[in-house]
Amino acid sequence: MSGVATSMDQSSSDRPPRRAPWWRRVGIAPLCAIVILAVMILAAVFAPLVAPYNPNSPDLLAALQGPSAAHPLGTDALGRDTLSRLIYGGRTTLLGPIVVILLSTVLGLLLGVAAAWRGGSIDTVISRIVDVLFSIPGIVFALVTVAILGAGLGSVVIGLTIAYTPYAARVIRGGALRERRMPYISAAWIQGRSGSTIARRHLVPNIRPLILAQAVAALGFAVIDLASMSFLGLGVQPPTPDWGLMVKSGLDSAVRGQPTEVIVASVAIALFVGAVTVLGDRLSTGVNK
Amino acid sequence: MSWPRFLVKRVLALLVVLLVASLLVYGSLYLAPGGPLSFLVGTRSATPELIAQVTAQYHLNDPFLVRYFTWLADVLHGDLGRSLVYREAVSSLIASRFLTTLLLVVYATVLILLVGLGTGIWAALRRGVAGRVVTGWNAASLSTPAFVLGALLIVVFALGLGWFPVYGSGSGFGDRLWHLTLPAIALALSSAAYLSRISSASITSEMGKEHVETAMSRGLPRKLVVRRHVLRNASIPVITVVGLTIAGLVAGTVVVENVFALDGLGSLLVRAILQRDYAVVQAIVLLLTIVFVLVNLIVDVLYSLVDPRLSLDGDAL
Amino acid sequence: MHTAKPLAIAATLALTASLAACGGSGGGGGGSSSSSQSASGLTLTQVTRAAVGDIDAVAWNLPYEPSTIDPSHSFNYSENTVIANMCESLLRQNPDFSTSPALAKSVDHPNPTTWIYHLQENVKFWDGKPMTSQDVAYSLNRGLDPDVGSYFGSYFTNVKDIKATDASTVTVTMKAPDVLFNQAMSTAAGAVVQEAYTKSAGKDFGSPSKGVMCTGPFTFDSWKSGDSLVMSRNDAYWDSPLKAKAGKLTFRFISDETTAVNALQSGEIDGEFFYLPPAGLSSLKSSDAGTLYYGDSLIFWALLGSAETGPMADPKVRQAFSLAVDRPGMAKVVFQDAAEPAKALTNPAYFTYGKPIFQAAYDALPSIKPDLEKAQQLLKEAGSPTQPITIAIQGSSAVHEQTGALLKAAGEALGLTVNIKSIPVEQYGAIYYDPKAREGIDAFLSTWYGNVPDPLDVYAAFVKGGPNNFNNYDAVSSQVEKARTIDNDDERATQVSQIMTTVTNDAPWVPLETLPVLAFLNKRVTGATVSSVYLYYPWAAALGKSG
Repeated sequence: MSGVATSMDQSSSDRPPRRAPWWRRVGIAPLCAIVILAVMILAAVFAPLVAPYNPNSPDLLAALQGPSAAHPLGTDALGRDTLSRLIYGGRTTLLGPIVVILLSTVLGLLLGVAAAWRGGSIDTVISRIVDVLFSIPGIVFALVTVAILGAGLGSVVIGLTIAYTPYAARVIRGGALRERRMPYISAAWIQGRSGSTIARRHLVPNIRPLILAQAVAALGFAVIDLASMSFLGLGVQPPTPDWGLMVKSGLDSAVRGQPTEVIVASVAIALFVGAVTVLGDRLSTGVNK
Repeated sequence: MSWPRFLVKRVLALLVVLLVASLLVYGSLYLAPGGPLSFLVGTRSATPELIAQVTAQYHLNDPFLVRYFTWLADVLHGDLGRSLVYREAVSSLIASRFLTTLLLVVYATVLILLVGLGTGIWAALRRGVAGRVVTGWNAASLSTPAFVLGALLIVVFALGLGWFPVYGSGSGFGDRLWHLTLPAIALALSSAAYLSRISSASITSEMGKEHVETAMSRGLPRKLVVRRHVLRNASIPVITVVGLTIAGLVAGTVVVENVFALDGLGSLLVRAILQRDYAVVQAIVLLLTIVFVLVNLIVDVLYSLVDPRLSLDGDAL
Repeated sequence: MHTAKPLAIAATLALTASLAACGGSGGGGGGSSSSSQSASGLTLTQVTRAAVGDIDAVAWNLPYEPSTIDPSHSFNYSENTVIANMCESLLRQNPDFSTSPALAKSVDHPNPTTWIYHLQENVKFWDGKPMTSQDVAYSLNRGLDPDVGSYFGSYFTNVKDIKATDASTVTVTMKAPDVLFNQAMSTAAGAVVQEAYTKSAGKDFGSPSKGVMCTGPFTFDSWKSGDSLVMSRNDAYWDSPLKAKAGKLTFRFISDETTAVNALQSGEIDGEFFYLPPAGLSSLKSSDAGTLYYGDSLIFWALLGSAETGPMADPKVRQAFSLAVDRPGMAKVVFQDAAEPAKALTNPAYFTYGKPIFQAAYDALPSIKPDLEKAQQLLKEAGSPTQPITIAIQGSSAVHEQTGALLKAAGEALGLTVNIKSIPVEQYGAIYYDPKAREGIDAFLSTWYGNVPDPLDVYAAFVKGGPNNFNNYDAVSSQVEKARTIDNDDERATQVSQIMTTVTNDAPWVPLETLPVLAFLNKRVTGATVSSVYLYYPWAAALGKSG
């Protein structure tokens, strides 16, 4: 993360001329990404209004069907509507990662800002802890947590939060360190404001774009990790609809000759992660400009 | 800083990491609801024999730090404890599954190097349509999780076209490789895309440098310039990425082995978690961490060898 | 790629199975080979076509690694599949569910509380030592010994003592008459192990390091934990018609269904008994590598109640549950047609005596048709309970997961709250014998079977305080106790069929499906027994080269 030296007001001068239409400024790909994410998240939030069927009610006469007018994305091994399960599945699939990112960003912010602001031994201790956490693969945290607390969405969220906090802390510490050297901070000092006020009122708002970029980039990985854990049978438990679980049960259906479910769930995950990645890239180029 | 000092410092740091990791793995037992004994016994019938075995294995009657160091000493002597489920030494459980995981990681690494570097160099030197195709391919690969890719590979190449076996590890070297092909692809693809992206960007930036443009304008053969100046300098960031990627693969096998039902360490780990067979969990987690940390160390050393301009004082761990 | 053709499946299946059954008789020792047509059109087989000759080595897969091969702890599929070929019992269940003498050449029953077993002469253990009446008495006494903790202990509850009365006779004296005791002598409860070896092996008896010492057609060879268990032909076997045709039988432990199906297709493995249909069942049906058989079976799929309090402890709630389940749909979709809707726990294959009496009672049971209105009515009478019901299912099993999802949906359609709890396969067994593992679980799915073909054996679970009476259902307890004392077949059948009617109505266990044994045999081998007696009969003895 080199050259993350910009604050909000400074980067405004780097923006393209005002004449360019807003969608050009954002870019076509990020725009598509926003639309995809909005559709997926809204569908998950309003699932009861949008989903054509109850995601858990089986229809044994309609099991293992391909796409049709009644079931646009086919049905699973029990005749449950795949589209409805996809829509409801978005809830667990997306809620878990969002909670992980919120928690790890808040923790990372506290650790990162404390380290950068206080410096000295506090910085050394925090940085060493972060370094050690870094040298253990992220999914290992999730696995150990599940081993201790038992399989379930909650355990996985706790484990991944521990795994993701060091990333957030390291990026935020870097940003906060650079910001701390800026003249406006010294000016505030001279005005006699307290350290915590300056950190809260000036520093944090100025590194907000950086925090956002980091959080969005991490969200993609969190979706992958959580869905992987559910796929392994360690996260969300059946029969709750979930994209990772749908890939798992869809594989069995594919062995029985009906690959629609596994393809649908796979595409949904890849599309969401892809959209998040594009958006994350756009946000971090904005920050790095 | 001198070389020996640099190495000593790095190895010491590595030992600290491993010590902390082992403390975390051992100590996490005490966070389990109901305490370590009830956790380790789990839903099994708490027969006196089982309680005695578990108590002895984890030294549960001693104070915490004593317990921890006794356990650590056992581990350092190669005694990883006994599995409560398989009624067998953990070390022999691991030994019999190690080869599959190793083969898978090596196979995936070869694929990553071939595909990642190949497409990266190609895209950077050709630009134009080729560059855009590779960029698009990389973006798609990066957003597809390994288990999703594995599932799709099974659906298309094993169930649909029937070119590859659906599941299992196979027997005999050739057959094993054949069985491991789809898993290795699933494991390698996103890392290959990342490597491709980094190497392409790195080459592009080297190509734009003054000395390269000068060499070209003086009429030196393009191939020579690319080989002598561009690729050598561009290799520095690439080595880092390769190293981190291999370290990441070790964790990635956990997922991929389960998709393809391979009998490696990753599937053993997941089964052990589901069965609450904590001795096995501890051993594999420690092993994964050791490999992860060792690979990072090797990368650091290589990095400083390839680029003597870098100081040996860098504070990155 | 295969496409799902549900209609074609039933037809193909009947055809394959009947072609396979055409080969005629196989197996010695009294095994006849008939095949019968089931109610829903499955053709059920008992013995596969006879082998034409010996074979050097056969590889067989087990659904999971056995936990032990000590007969007194063999109460499950993998364990029994192995032990049945090594350790013989006093009596033998044959592939057609009849019973014949084995290590006991005859049985006297001079009065209701005495069983006298006259032992076969010239039977030797694998190490060449003769089997003595001491060995037999020692083996049976293990069933009484709390330190051994035999899983068959409930058959020994009425036993007073077991003594070797002379060199070739063992006499069992009962505290109270119990017909199930003698029947159980045809299961692993009556298995004979060598006293000296068992004592010297101590706690390691039945483990990978020590194995067992028995008299059966196969000898224990080696067991590499996590890899394989090997048994070899016993060349000195006493009962020549059942002498093993295979020189060596290697058991593998591939627990992943699809890997196993793949290995069967590729011929890496010669055969496997599936107790639940794998996802790849249709590819086995149409496989060129071998034949899929549907074996006559005592096995059933049921929801076993384990709640002593809460909604599931109320018979009305269980009845409502039972009425809400679509059993034919479940057979078709979850079991890929390899199941038959069950209206009672015991299907007619159990009716090996007093058949007309049982059949009449069975026919009078209510039909399996779902009746949501009646179910709602029953729930209202039960006070419309709101506490959640937790149903345990076995993890990584599609059949368990799907049945769990169906039960959840059925319960929720009635307004009940149903939670599904997934438990890994290796821990699932603990639910049966460990009350601690059942804490917080109101009911669990099970592939249960009677150890002997007598409905009483299944309903005997419902005695007060019995180890398998998971929800302490005691409405038939005294009737069961009484039935166990009735020697006369027809009288007992009358008593047991009343029990069947009461239990079916109260649904302490909710019957769901009757499950045929699914057995796949590679085309290079044949002769194996495929009816569910493979759990206690040396099913692999006649397994040999195919013609």
